[in-house]
Amino acid sequence: MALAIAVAVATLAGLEQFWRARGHRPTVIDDEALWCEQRERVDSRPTIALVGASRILLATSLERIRHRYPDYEPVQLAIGAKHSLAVLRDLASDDDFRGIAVVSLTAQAFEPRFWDDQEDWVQACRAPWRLEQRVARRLRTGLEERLVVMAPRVSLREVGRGVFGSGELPSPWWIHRSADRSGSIDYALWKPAPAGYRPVRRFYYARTVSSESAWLAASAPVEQWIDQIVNRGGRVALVRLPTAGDQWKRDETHYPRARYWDAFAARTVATTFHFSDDPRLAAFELPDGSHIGAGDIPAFTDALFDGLEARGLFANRSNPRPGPLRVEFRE
Amino acid sequence: MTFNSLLFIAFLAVILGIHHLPLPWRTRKLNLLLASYVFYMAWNPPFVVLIWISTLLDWFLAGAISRSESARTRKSLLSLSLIGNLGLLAFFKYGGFLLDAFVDFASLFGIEFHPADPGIVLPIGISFYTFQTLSYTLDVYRRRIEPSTSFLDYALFVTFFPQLVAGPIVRARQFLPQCELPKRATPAMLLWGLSLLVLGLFEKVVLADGFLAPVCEAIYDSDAVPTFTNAWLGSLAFSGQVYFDFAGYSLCAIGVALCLGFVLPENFRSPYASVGFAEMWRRWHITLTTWLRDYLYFSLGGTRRSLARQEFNTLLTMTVCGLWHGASWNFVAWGAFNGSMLVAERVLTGLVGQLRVWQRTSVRALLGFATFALWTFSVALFRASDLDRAWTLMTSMLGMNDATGALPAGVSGFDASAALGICAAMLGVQIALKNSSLRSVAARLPGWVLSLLLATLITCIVLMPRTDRAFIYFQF
Repeated sequence: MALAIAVAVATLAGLEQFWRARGHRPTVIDDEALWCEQRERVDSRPTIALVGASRILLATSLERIRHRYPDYEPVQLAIGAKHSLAVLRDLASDDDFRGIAVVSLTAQAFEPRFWDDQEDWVQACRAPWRLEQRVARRLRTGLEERLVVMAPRVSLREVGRGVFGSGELPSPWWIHRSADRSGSIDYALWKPAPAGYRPVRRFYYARTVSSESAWLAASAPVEQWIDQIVNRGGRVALVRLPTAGDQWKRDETHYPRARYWDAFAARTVATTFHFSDDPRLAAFELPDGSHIGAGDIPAFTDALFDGLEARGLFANRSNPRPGPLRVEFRE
Repeated sequence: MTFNSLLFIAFLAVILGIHHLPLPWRTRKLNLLLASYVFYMAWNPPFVVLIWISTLLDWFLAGAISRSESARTRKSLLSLSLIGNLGLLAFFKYGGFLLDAFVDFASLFGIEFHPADPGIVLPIGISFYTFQTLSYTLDVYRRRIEPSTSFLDYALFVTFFPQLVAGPIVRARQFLPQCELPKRATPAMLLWGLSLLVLGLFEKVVLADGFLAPVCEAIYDSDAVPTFTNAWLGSLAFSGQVYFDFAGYSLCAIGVALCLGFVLPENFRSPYASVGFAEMWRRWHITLTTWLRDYLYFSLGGTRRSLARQEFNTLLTMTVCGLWHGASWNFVAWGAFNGSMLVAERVLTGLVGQLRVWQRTSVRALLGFATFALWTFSVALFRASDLDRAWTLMTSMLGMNDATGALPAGVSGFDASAALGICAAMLGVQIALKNSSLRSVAARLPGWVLSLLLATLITCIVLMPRTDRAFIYFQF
């Protein structure tokens, strides 16, 4: 057995060197358990909870936020490829949460059919979150942070798929994740999405657009969730992060900003921030039309929070909601 | 705690270390008992109370049964044990199912009944430890064993962590004698135990979870009607997955126990090399099958009754076997299907079994193939989310759906080929080992070859992406 372990360790060490030489680097596998670790850090202490999907996940530096706001603890709660309102709803129902929720979302996220997109992760965290899972996750994270051979990209299955599919070994993955769930994209390694992806998205949009009146009416519960947080001393910022090219055109075609985003912004107590109002945010390069590159993350984080500060997110407010709009909304 | 977690490896290292310290045997048994409770509580601490209830109930009742001379009292005490143990099992495992069945039944008479969701959590491993404690009391009642004189030994028998949550189901007469004399694994036992642990983890992590589960999930968890080919591919992948998952767990359990100096019974013996369902069930989940045979089938009269009654008893036993696997109509149907196969096989054997043609190698190979094909057909009931989906899969496998298309989304040509290759290799290995054992094969290999093989398995385990798939049999 000692010989077997020695041979296995030597083989894995060789593979580790081999993959590193080919440009692979360790990355942490994101899952419900890792998310729950971060969710647990949201408590009565001053917290900045980042909520959303991949755009905010791959564009914000927790280190930078910590540096800007030493009194707050930033927590990354965004979940890739899913609309984010389930997490906002979860924070709203958590009486301990009195911090700041920075929620990245699009007008489409307000469609009720997308509200539960991230609910499975929320529920996984509400279920008894076991000591066993915590320890196992910590051990895994420790190894994944350090070893390339733990990465899914170089797993037996992926290597087999590559070798027997395209005849090539897997190339380094362009998305990197850390133990605190923050992520980044290395566009030098990026390969555009395969053909067939975009038509699916067009179909996806076509099926889900509500009329603006129906959309606005359906978003009433979202307003209530925001109220819940604000009423106990917390704050909420709804941010529309940059998209470009076809992505932005599709968004604007199906959910024109003036009729959807601005309509909700006019009546919410939350701070709202649309990237097209801020030349700094709008100027960032988005090679895939949706996400910034790793090198831009610190500057993007500064631009985002400068914009939020300018809109009063961190200012002292005694009565944040404009009266007439509230009356109109309740009617 | 699952065997396929880094936490378990750390846990095992600590427990093995303590077990091999020069401590009194009683102290080391106490260490194993406490470790077993920790192992169970890592899942959900409050549910350990159920194990304590089950342990105490059968300890006192078995003792009272043994002391009593009155047949009536003995029977009453046994009934108490059955009601207590099966009552807990019925509530926690079948409560929701029974409620749903009642609601459906009431609706047949136009009664609309909408009860609140009972929200019952299924305690992990309850089916296993309940059967284990019941077997103890039943054996004492039948005077096959004397009740244990050591509560520590008995509690360890109920709770021994390697087999606590998913078997093998151990009998008291197999385990308790092992508690009497100090146990410490010899170097050979330790080596073989660790080898079995590595092999079991390879079967679970690499074969079941890494290669077969993704193919099966893509087909079974989709709403699409699968093609004939995809339906068979998905079911074949699940036949492999469920075998490697459960046999893998059993190997881990046997291996870990061996590292501690305990011998657990074999649970799988090349089941897919079987010719006929009777042989299949003698080789598949052996400790459950023998439990049902000894305590249910024989209690119903066994082979002492008329032929028709025997067949009915077989059908009933296998339906209970299906229900034991899970609280849903799918499992009931799966058990009944297997029971029907056993009955049909016995009837056909009675009619034409004496013909010489059945002994030809080619005919036996064909019968073996037919057995595996029917088993693979039946696992649609086991794996599908509900009976409707199972029906869709089964009709597709019979070519009754005219779905067309290529492989399902997410399954590449490599994935499908790997799944087929693994299943083919599984059948080949089981046929080769049908009348042999892993131990005897390993004994014939030079040490360095065995080491290289183990090194390969360990490397493959590390090189699989981690998933949180629990062992399938944990839900039972």
